[in-house]
Amino acid sequence: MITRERLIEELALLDEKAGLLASQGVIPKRIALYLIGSGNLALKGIKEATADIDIIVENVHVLKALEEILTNPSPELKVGSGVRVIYLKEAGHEYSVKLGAFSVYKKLDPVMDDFTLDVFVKRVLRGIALSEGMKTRSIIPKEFRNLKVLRIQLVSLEDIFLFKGVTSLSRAKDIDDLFRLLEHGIDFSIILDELNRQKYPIEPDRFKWLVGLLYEKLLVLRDILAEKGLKSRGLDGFIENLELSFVKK
Amino acid sequence: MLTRAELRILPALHKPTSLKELSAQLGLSRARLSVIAKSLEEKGLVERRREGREIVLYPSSARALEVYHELSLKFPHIDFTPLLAGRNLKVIGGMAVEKPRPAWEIALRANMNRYTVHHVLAKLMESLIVGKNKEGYFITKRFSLIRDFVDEYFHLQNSIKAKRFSGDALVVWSGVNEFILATRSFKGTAWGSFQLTGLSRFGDFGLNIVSAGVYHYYWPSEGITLEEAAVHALTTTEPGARELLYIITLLRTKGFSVAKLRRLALKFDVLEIVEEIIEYLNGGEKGYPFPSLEEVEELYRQYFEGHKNDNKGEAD
Repeated sequence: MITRERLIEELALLDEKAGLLASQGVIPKRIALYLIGSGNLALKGIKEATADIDIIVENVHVLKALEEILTNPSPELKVGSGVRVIYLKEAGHEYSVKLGAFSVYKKLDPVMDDFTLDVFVKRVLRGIALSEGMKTRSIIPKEFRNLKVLRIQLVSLEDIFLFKGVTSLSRAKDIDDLFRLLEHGIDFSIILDELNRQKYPIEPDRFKWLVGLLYEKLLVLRDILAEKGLKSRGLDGFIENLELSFVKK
Repeated sequence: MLTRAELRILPALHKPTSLKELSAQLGLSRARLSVIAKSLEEKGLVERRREGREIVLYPSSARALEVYHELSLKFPHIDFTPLLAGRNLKVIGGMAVEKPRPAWEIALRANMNRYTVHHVLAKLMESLIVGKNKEGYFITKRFSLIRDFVDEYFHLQNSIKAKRFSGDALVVWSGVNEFILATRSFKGTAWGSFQLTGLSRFGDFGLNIVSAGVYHYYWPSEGITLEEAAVHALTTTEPGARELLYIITLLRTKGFSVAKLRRLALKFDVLEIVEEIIEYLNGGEKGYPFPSLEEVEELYRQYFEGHKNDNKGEAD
């Protein structure tokens, strides 16, 4: 199991390695990593999740720099108490404007057990894209504010709601996470604004399909709530807005 | 456990009483009383204070003590000392009010052998505290207060042990001399007889988890099996889709003993959901919050076959 403290420590070690590479001019001095998905929720103390952290980076240059930090095995890059932090690249797609790139890096760690970083470039494959609004809304938690090169940005709960809202209906675990987010309280007007902004970077047909998925999933969510005698006015209003703005158009 | 001598003192402790007074009242030597008082203090039932040359025992605010006094007031004609001493307390701890349980189940819940349970039950039946029908043994409604006392007593003992683990520890499931605590203090997978359990322990079986900062520990044990980790996960959280997905994938991948899983589920009062899980694993389709087979297979491929490249545009 990975404790929150261990995860924070791991990112601090990676930042130290990044600092050495930046001082050699191999990578830029600042690299922003946007944490989405359940890793984000675990760091916020909201939900336990499997040990694969999903990250979006802004472009392929950042991906290359991150890959350098994760996989460079040079013995000169010792950090912490003199250890080398090395990840293995597991899978990767070549960068493509439409699909976005996707790479997986795995750390084989005897203490932490296996741990993977799933890194997306700009967009979660054919799903939602990292927007300026998302970047502005994301925060760097205080534990990561002292890092020098890596900027660990946690995207907002509203944006996680959107990322999880457009996954396939067969993923029951995402429905559960949406419940947690509702319990926590979210601002649906932010999600609606964001959806309007997503219209442009996403291909029209694909956008329509994603909104359809979101709509269906929210209806399922509303039904499950109703079965339990629960009702969220925010959710109902959002569903209505989706119908007016997208679904019935 | 409570000894007969300890139980004898309890009725007198409805107000602060000095050892001298108790000695006169109960005919016990002050040296003997001093030993008993120390033991009761360790059990959280009294507080010893020196006042001048006297040691005064103050009743603690424990609910168990209150219930015991209520019991003595309600049934002044019954001497509860022999009825609640030693192993009797454990047997009652394994029983329910008006809900019959077979002796083997009482033995399972009380962590005792069946022979001893039968022996104790026979005595308790003589006092009309325990009834029996074809389904098993039960505590009669008239004596439900006894069951309350026993629950409170074990909860108190478990809480005292939990606080030794860490100041913020809370008992979230309490049994007969066994419990699960929740804490924000992580002390590794084992700390003495405390074992990390639930979702956080799934890494031992190949499904590594990032913790949200709350850990569960089971006491007492020298290790945790997959069946235990799964049942404890179901006990400590309201099992949602994520928990079910992880539990189902692990059970399906690693294999498990159905009998062992059922026994544990019975003890931890999660039999209903465990039966549903077994049904699901036997091919019975189920809706939310149960995962789709597709989800189980995706997780299996990711963690047990090393395929990570099948993500369909979805972050975890």
